[in-house]
Amino acid sequence: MGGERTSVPAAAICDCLFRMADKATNPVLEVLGAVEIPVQGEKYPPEKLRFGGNRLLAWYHSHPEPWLRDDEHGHFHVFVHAVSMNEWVHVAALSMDEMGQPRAWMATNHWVTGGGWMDGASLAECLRQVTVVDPDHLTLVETWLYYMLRLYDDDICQLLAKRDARLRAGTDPEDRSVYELACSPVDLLARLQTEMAALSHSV
Amino acid sequence: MKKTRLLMGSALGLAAIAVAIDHTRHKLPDARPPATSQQQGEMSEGNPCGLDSGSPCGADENPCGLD
Repeated sequence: MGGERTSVPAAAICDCLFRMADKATNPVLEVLGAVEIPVQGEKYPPEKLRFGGNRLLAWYHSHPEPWLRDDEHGHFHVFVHAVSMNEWVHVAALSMDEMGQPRAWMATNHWVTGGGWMDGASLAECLRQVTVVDPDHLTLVETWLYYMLRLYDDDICQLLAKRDARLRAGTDPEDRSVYELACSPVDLLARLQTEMAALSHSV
Repeated sequence: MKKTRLLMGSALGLAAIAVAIDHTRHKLPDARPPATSQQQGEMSEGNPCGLDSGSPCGADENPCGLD
């Protein structure tokens, strides 16, 4: 990962945070909009988030039983359009805590999202292809999510590798007792601190 | 973004970011269960995070699918 690729996402995430702080909002409140009480299982926003040149698609939702989780409010699901397959492929879910803060990236089992499936290395490459250019005309939460994908692209790559390893070890992609295949905790402030330290050393 | 780039290179940057993050911390409203038990049944049988609308969250059968 080059210096430009590390510093631009960190700066962009900070910019999003300042804008959200000014509005007293956060990524989840942004997608909920005027919805005061979200409904479990509903996708927010209904029109979904589209970015990465329309090759990335995402939404937020909270699960009803039996997939309700104690440690999160809900999660963003991110899909990339794989041109070679002409299908949407699930990249990862970004789990959010009850205060609207990112807590972990998750790789889910195939039955959870259905749709196309790619090995982790190909999927990570596909994701990098659509996050090369800085985006224009995105909403605040689309911008935040786009740069979260870029800021954490190495983590996501490792997450997908762990996912694949678990499947190679014998986990059935359609086993409904297995929802999550891999998880990568997120500490955004610590990550930004690391990025800033790297930036100051490079100046 | 100019302000951000200046902050990123300043000693005050991290403190400012920590404060900004703190100002984005707001208790989210608890999600309520779906109105009908049928919806819940579809969720438990389908794909909870799928793309399609056939199941509440899924690509027809996936709870977290796209449509």
